Amino acid sequence: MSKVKPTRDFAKIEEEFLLEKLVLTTKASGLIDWLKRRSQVNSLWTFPFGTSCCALEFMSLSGETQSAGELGADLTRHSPERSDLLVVGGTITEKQAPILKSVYEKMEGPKWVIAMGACAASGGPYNTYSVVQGVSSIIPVDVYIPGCPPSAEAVIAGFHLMKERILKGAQRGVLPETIEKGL
Amino acid sequence: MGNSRELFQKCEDQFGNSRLTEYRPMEWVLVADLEKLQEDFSFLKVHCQFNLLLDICGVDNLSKKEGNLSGKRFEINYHILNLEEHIRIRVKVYLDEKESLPSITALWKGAEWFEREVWDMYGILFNGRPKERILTHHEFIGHPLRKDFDPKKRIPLSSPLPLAPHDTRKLRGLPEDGHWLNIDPSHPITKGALRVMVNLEGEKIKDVLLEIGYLHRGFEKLCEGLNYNQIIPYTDRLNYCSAALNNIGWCKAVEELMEIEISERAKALRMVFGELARVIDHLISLGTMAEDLGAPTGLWFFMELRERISKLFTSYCGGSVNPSLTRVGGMSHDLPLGWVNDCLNTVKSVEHSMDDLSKMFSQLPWWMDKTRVCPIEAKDAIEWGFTGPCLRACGINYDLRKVSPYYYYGDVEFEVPLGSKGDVYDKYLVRMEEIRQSLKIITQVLDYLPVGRLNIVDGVSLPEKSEVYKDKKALDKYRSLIRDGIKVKPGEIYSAIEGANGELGFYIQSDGGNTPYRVKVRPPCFPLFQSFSEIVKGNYLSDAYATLVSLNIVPGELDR
Amino acid sequence: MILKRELYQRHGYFKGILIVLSLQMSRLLKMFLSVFKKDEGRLAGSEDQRSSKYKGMLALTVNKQGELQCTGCGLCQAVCPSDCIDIQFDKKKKGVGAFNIDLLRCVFCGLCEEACPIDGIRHTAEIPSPGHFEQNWNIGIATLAYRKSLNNGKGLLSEYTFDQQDLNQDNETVLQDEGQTSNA
Repeated sequence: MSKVKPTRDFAKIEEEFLLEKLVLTTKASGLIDWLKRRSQVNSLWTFPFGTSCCALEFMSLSGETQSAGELGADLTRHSPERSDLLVVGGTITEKQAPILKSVYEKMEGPKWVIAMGACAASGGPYNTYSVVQGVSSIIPVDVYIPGCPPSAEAVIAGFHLMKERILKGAQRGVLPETIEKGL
Repeated sequence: MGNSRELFQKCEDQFGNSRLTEYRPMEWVLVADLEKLQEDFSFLKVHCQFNLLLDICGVDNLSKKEGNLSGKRFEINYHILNLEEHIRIRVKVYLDEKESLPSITALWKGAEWFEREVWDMYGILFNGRPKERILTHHEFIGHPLRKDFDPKKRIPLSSPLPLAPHDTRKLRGLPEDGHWLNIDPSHPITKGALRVMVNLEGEKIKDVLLEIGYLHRGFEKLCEGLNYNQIIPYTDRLNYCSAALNNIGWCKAVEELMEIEISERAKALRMVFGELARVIDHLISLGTMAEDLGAPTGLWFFMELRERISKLFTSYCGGSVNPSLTRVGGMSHDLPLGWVNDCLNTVKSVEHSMDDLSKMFSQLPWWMDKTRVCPIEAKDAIEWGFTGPCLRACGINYDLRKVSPYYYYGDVEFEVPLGSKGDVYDKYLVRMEEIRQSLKIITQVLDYLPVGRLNIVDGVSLPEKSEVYKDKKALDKYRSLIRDGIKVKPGEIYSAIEGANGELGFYIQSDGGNTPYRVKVRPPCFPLFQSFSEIVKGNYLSDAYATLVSLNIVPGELDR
Repeated sequence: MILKRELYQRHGYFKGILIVLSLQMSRLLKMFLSVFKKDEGRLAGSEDQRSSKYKGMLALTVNKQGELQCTGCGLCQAVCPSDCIDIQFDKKKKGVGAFNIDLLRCVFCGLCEEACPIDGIRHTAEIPSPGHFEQNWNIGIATLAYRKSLNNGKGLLSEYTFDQQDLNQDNETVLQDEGQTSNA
C-alpha cells in the first residue's frame, strides 16, 4: 500500500502566492496597469503544445460545435515568439522536456502557462522511467485543468480562470530552480 | 488451403520434426539454432514466400516461473507472414548475455528499426548494426525492459540531439557537408512527436534522418505490473484516434490465450464499435490531410462529421477519446434504450454528407496536383512491412477481415477498395471508400443484432451488482476477481485485428500469474514511418509533407 | 474492388470552381433553413447535453442516515490503474479514517466505481473544474462527501473544516486491516 504524499508544501506557498493577497502596484500607474491587463486578457494568443490525446480535444474545441472564439483565445500561433499563452496538453517525456523548456524561454514578455490534462499536470497514470511527473518541474504553471482528457467546457472554464488571474496581476514568471525535479 | 499442407511438409523436411510445430491453425512455431539462423531465414523468404516481416520481439526469461525451456536468459521472437497463404510463423531463438544475432536487414528492409528497438530495450547486439537507440533518449543508461531494471528510475536529458550529428552521418555513409533543415516536434505538421531532418539541394530532398521516441511512455514495462483488466485504460491511449479498436484487439488476444468464447451479442457490439472507431480515425486523418495541404476549412468539415459519431460514444460510455468499453469476457455494460435508432440515424446522415464532401476534393485539379506525388511500388511496400490502407493503395488485396475473418465479418457483405499507384491520392480515395464500407457493415450488423446476456463467462466476468448486494458467495467471488484479477495459464499468443492503420497485433506471454509476463504491441505505423526516408528521396519538400500526413502516423502508437 | 476509373480524371479549373461554389452555396442555404426545422431531440441516454454515463468529478456516497457508505475495504485502491487513491483504515472506529484522492493523477476511467460492491464511490455528472496551481489538489473526505444539507452547511464531518482535514493527514492512524471486509 503506498501512501500518497501531498504534492507541495501548501502552508508555505499559500503565504507567498495566495490570490487575495496579491494587490495592484502603486496608485499612480493604476490606470495604465488596468488598461494593460484588460487588453492582455481579451486577446490571448495561444501556442498549443499538444503531444497526444489532449491535442485532439483541444483541436475540437475551436471547431464548429464548441467555441473558444468568444474569449478571443482560439487564435493559435504555432510560433513561440508571437504568443503569450502556452497550453501544454499531453504526456511530456524526458526526451521532450528540453524542447518544452526552450519553447518557453523563447516566448517574450508576460507569459502564462496552462497545464491541461492529467499527464501534463502530474504524469497521470504513467509513473515510469521516461515520463516527467508534472510539467511544473520544468516550467512555472499557472492553471491546472484535471481530466483525461478534460472536456471542452472544462478547458473554457480554465481560460476564464486564467483571465481572472491575469486581471489580478498574478504571474509566476520565475523558473522553479529550487523545486526538486520529479516531486 | 491444400497449398499450406504442402508448404508445411516442405518446411518440415528442411527443418526437422522437432523444431517446427503447428501451434494453432495457420500459426506455426519454429525453434531455431543460433548458428543456422541466417540459412533458415533465407529458406523461409526465398523458397516459402514468407515475405512480410511483422515484428521482432525480445523477452527476458530471468524471473519466469514456468515455461523456460532452454535455460538461457534471452529469447527473441520473429513474426513473419506469408501473404498468399495467410500463414504466420514465429521463429524463436534463445541466447545468453554476451551472444549476438545476425542482422536480417539484407532480406527484409523493414527489420532495421525493430532491431534497434531490441538493442534499446534489451541490450542485444546484432552483427553489423551500430549501437543506436530509438525510443529512449541518447543519454539513457541501461536497458529498460530487462527484469532487473527499476521501472520508476528516471534519467533526465540535458539537451536534445544535435541536428544530423556527425557520427550518425558517418554510420550511414552520408556526406559530411550539406544544408540540413530541422523539422522539430513543435512544428504543426509533425503532430507533436516526430523529428525529421532533411538534407536539401535547392528544393529537392537528398537525404532524410528520422528521430522518434518523443512520446515513449513505457507501456510495455507498465503492463508487467498490472492486471489484465487494468491494462484496458492504457490501451485506449495507444492509438487515441480509434481507441475502441485497441480495446477490442487486447481483449481478443487475452480471450484467445485463455480459450474462452464470448457471447454473440458481445461479438456483434464489438464489431459495431470497432467500425465506428475506424470511421472516426479515417475522418481525422483526412481532415488533417486537408488542413496540412492548404485547405484549412476542410478540417472543420471532417471534424463536424466526427462530432456526430462521437456523440454516439458519449451516450454509451461517457467519453469518445478514452472509452474503455470492453472487458475481458465481454463488454463493460449494455446499450441504453434507443441507442440503435440514434446510431442508424447518424449513419444515414454521415453517408449523405460523405457524397458532398467527396465532390469537394476528388477530381479537382488543385487537389490532384498536390496529391499525385510519391508513388510506392507494391514490392517495396511488402519489403518494408506495410499493412492496412497504405498497402491496399498499392494494389494488394490484403484485409484481415476478409482473409481470416473473426467474429461475424465472414457473414456481412462489404468490399475492399484497392488503389493502383500507391500515391497520396490513392490513399485518400481508399480511406474515403473505406468509410462508406464501414457504415454499410454497421447497418447490416444492427439489423440482426443478437439478444441475450452480455457477459456470460463464469470466473472471468464480474457478477451483476444486484446479486452482489444480497448474496455473500457472489460478494466473495466479486472481491477475489477484483483484488487478484484473472489468472491465465502459461502460454503465448500473437493475435491481430484489422486496425484503422493496418494490422494491430498483440503478443502476450503469460507464466501463470494474474499479470502478463511480456506484452508487445505490433504498431501498424512503425514500418510506415520507417519507409518515409526512402520514399521521399528526390522529391520536393512540399511533397514530403503530403506523404507524411497521408501515412497517418499516430505518435501514441508509434512510440507506445 | 478497384476504385472507379472516373475518379482519376481531372476536371478543368473553371468546372472545379463551379462545383465547389455550388456545393458551398447549397450548404449555406441548408444552414439558413435549419433554423426553421424542428428540434430532433436528444440522443438516448443523455440528459441536457451530457450523457448519464459521463465520468465526472468523484464523490463518496452518503446514505439516508447521514453516514458514509464507504467501509474502507480498499477494493477501489487495488484496482486503480494510476494509484491515486489512498485509504487509511481506523481500527478504533472500525471504519475509514482518511480517504484521499490525488485529483491530478486521476484518469476518470470508472474502474473504481465498477469495483466498489456497495456503491461507496461514484462519478457524478459534475465536470472536474480547473483550479490555480497553488490550491490543494489532494482532496479528502470533507470535499468528497460534502453535502450542503448536512450539519448546517458544514458537510459530513462537522469536527473538521476543509483545510484541517487535509493538513492533518499525517496524524491519522496509518493501519489498514486486510481482513476487514464490507458486510453490507
